[in-house]
Amino acid sequence: MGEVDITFKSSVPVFDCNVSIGRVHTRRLSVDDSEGTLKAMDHAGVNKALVHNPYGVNYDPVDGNRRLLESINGIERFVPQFTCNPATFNIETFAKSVSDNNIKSLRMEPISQNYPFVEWIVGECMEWITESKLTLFIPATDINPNEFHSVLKSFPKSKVVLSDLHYGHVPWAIPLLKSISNLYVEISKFSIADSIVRLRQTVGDNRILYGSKFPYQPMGPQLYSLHRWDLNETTLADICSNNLSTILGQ
Amino acid sequence: MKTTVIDFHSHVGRMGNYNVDDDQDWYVKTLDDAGVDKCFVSYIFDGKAKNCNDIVYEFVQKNPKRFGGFAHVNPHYIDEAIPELDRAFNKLGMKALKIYPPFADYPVNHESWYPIFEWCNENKIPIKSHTQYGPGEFRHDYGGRPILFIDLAQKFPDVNWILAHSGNFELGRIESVKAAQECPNIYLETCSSYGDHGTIEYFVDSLGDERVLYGSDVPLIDPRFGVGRIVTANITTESKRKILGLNALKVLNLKESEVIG
Repeated sequence: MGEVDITFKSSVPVFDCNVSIGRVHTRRLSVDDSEGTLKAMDHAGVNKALVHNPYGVNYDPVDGNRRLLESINGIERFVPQFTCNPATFNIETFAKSVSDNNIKSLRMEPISQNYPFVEWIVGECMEWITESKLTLFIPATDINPNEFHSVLKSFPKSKVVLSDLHYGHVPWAIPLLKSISNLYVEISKFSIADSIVRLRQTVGDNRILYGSKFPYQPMGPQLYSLHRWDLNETTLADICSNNLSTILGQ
Repeated sequence: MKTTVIDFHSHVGRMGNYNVDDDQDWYVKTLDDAGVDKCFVSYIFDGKAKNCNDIVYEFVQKNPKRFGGFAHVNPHYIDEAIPELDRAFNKLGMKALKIYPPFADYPVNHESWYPIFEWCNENKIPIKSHTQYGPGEFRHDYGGRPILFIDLAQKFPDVNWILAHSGNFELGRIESVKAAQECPNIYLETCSSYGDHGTIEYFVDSLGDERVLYGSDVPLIDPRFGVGRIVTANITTESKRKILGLNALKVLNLKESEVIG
């Protein structure tokens, strides 16, 4: 008879690296505010979350980032992530805002924001991100793999996380992860058979980050899945929280 | 906790484009690791249904304790489909029919399907259909739009209709719930790589826990993830047990001893 852990709770601390807080107007989300997100974190056993605001991607990074800070209102379980659009921003102003608010990671969504991820657009920003030791998150759905590969090859000391990886991305994403040693992978949507085995073989244990893509997905399933791969507690803790804390310098 | 776990949605056949395989030793180990007792598999990729069903039969025969078969037929070859249904259910021991409307290039309520549905209705065979309805390119009837099953469930009342993926996207999920609320012979199946936070809770709150079935989409999606969607949902332990396997026993008319051996 199937042995499943119906009352599952994580055995290690959890730091979710892919959470969105805020409304979109294309649909009604099941949770769109801090209070609901905290409740979901409590239910799933998630201690901390790296959060961004969708307005920053869909309309305006400055307003989106401001809304983000307002919505999390200093709650320590939320670590803010700023959205940035290197095609349109003023880098000095943005850098000051990042520094003033002690931001450690940024988010770019090039296809959604209608610019190619190429060096002649993102080069200056990548240089600043690398020098500032910031971590950049980019969804797999938002890049041209060839352009992405080319830019990352030019910035070998940058810290970049490929998020939202789906089984449909496997043909190019696995070779990409093999090719770029400073590229990390977030696993919220990576549920293909042998998912964790594949990633461990490709990038090792320290470049894999637990994320949920909440509220577009629940926090629990990938966390439950991670506890069923016979990972030792060290590896499990690294994937569930330590790797993220390390790259954020926390 | 030990509880019966039946995967209502799995496949056999290599999918080299995603670098996934259906090696049976791997399959059994994966089911063991995920805590799944039995897995019902189909093969839908060959236009010749006989080939599909032979592949499933051979796979199941190697380990009938852990695997069961769902048949497949092609509505474009309706002359072959009816005899093949007879062979699949009366000789090969299949337990349900799997259909995949996106391959057919017409909606699931198109009359070309009707001889197949009539046969299943007469023989009380459950039909599991791929369903999807969502934003952008997915907003059309051809993918197995859930709302279309209301008419089918009423026209063919002795079929239990299982909506695989429960519409896959938010719009599809809403239609799936509406269809199931309207028709007591419609069931929702949980496998999806698009399930929002609160999806399982929404199904149970809207429909109760008797007509929701766990499915994974192995080997495309790992069963640990699919089981995790049920186990970590904010529903009662009893509801989880029903969704994970007890409901499937009823739909497939199986005894627990046939599954856990």
